[in-house]
Amino acid sequence: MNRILSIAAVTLRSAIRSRIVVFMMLLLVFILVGLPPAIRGDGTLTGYVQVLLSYTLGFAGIILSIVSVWTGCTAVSAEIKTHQLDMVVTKPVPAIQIWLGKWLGILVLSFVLLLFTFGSAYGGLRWAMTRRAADQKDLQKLREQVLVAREQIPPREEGLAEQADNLLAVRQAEGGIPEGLTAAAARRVIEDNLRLQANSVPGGYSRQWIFDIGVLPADRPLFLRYTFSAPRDDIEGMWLAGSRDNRDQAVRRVTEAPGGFYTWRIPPAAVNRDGTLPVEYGNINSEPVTVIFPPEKPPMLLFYHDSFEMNFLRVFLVVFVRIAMLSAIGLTAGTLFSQPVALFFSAWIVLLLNVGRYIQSMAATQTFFPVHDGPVRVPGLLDKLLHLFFAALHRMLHPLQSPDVLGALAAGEWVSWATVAAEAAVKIVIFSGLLALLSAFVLNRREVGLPS
Amino acid sequence: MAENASNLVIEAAELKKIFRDFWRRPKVRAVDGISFEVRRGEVFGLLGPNGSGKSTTIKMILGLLHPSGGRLRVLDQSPRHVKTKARVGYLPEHSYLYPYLTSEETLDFYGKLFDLNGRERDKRIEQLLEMIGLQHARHRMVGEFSKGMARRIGLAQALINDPDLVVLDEPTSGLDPIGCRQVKDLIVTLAKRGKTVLMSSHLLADVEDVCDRIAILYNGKIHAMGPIRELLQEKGRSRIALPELSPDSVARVLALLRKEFGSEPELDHPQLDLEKFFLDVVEKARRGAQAEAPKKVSVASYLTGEDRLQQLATAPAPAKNAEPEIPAPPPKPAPETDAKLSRLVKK
Repeated sequence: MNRILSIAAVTLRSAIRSRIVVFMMLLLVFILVGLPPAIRGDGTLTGYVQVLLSYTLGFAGIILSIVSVWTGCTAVSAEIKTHQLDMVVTKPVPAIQIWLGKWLGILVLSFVLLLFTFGSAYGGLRWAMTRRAADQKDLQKLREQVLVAREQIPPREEGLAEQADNLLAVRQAEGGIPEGLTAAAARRVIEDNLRLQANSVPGGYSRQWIFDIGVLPADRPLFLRYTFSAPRDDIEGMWLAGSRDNRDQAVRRVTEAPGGFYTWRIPPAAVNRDGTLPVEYGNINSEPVTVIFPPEKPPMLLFYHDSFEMNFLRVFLVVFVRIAMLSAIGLTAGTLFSQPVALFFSAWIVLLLNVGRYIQSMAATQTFFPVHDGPVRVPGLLDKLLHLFFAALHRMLHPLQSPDVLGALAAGEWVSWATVAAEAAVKIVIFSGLLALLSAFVLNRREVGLPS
Repeated sequence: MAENASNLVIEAAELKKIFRDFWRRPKVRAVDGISFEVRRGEVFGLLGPNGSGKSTTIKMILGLLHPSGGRLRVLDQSPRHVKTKARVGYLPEHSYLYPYLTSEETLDFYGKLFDLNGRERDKRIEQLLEMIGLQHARHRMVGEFSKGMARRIGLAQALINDPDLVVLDEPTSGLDPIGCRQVKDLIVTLAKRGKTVLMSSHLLADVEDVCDRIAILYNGKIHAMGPIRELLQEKGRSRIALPELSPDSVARVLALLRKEFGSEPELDHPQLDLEKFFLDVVEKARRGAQAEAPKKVSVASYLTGEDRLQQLATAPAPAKNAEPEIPAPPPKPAPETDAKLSRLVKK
């Protein structure tokens, strides 16, 4: 441990002296100090705090990611180039300890910078609350919807899978599956269509969702959050929360524009004794417009779970875990390659991790080059190869992609300890652990004394 | 192999190193099948012009490069083994130290890599700084040092673990004559304690002063190897040194020699080597200027074995089954007296 700690201390001192790291640290300070006053938001305190939490911390996170990847890449590759590592590898230090020492040094730097970043953001938030809190209603909204950790509950999804199976069987019996579409793909399409239907409310119809809440403290408010799409700007609707026989049933008539996110405060008394809450939306537009609640973002029920400060801490840890993983990637690249190649390689990995959704959509694509000479697009050899490539890439990168915890923090959504633990287990214990073993293997075999 | 294996510190047999290009095609044959052995307590010198393979050989011995062929054992193990590294000290040709660490921090860092405990580390750092004369610069960053000072701190870090094998690449490069003398004295002291020293140098006088055996490399091959006295001995010639004689006495001795050997003897006056002359002049100048007399080089006590002796003096008698101490090397044989010369003097 003594060896690891001393290597970590030297790595830390080396990183602090890097001009790029110093420049990035100054940029970080500029973002933390300069960005919040420049934020206009929607003019409300709630909007200001949300932008502060998502944008300021988001930009700072990008800077810290660059710092950790850069420091990781140079920690080994630059020392191989300058032969400083010769003096370490000729000492009785196993390669894994050299790697861990370097990583620990970078982690300490990242931790301190991240602590400074989050501390500044929290200080800025508290400062804004004392200086800008003129409107009590705005302040209450901030406390209830942002400075809180609210658990999110999606609506119950009943029998969708069975319905999809049954419909597929019928279609297969009728011979209604197009040639070139596999049974699995056909089933996926059927299920997606069913889900879309279930979240679509045509004019003059209503749709009900059931939320399983369980036991809820009586003094904690509930919030329904939803978004929708529609072909018109002003959509009239009627929301009902609670059973029809419940005298505390909440009713709300709204006229809203599609595309935005809306929140409705529901009294806890509307929840049934069995812990369920039925929520109904009625499309009361006079014209025949269909309101579609996106299946991937259905109406969600939010309620108090934990304090904002604890959520803030958990988000801090998740961001730190991500930065730790990035520094491990940089460090491994620096062990495997020369400095420029390591930086190029790490930049690619970071880029791939940030376009996860695009890769996911490509992995779901069957035909990349459509064939126009027939009614059905049949995947060719190149399509199949590309599909396999993107599917493999998605499978590899998916576990390494982080949830949008900053977005969750700004929306007052609860980030659980389970999320923190899962992130740490996958990104630090498993992934970084594998990188450490790979690096140690390579460092044991690499000739660090080659003439430079 | 006739040599007792436990007495061999380095064994190289048909050692090769070929540097390859990106496509794995052979580019340079830096070391081309060399074989040599270095024994415990020996000071072994690797000589050769630039590009002859000295540094490559040293780097293979340190595990920094991997041999392309042949066999290499260091302290009876692979040079890349962690246990081997624990017993080796290395001074590279250039300063590869961290420039932002002070002298003290540098020694502390390398001491920690050898897993020395805090008390032992502090003691050794103190002794080493005194030994290399950098006590005044203990809080100065290594990056601010002159080449000679960087060399000294590099040497100190190479000795922090009290190594059994010390590998010194150009140890006197960049040092002033006094520093050179100190380093050479240190090498001799280490050898006396049974430590093995492998050194490479371009300064042939330094090698001649301290090395027991040398190998001369050229183009990756050993072209000459053996004890330095044997290699430098002029066969079939003898030299007698006497106090200054009067012209009469010289004539008589020359006549006697002519009569005894039948050939004309050469008469010359022995000369000091430049290093000794320089050191004498500097010392006299210091005394003359009433300056403080130069301190005698104090070698760190843990390197001279004084610490060990003190420990043994205070420790209880060892158990019978205890492991034996590393035996001190046998004293170097005095030069043989020439029998013929004795007879001549008697006459």
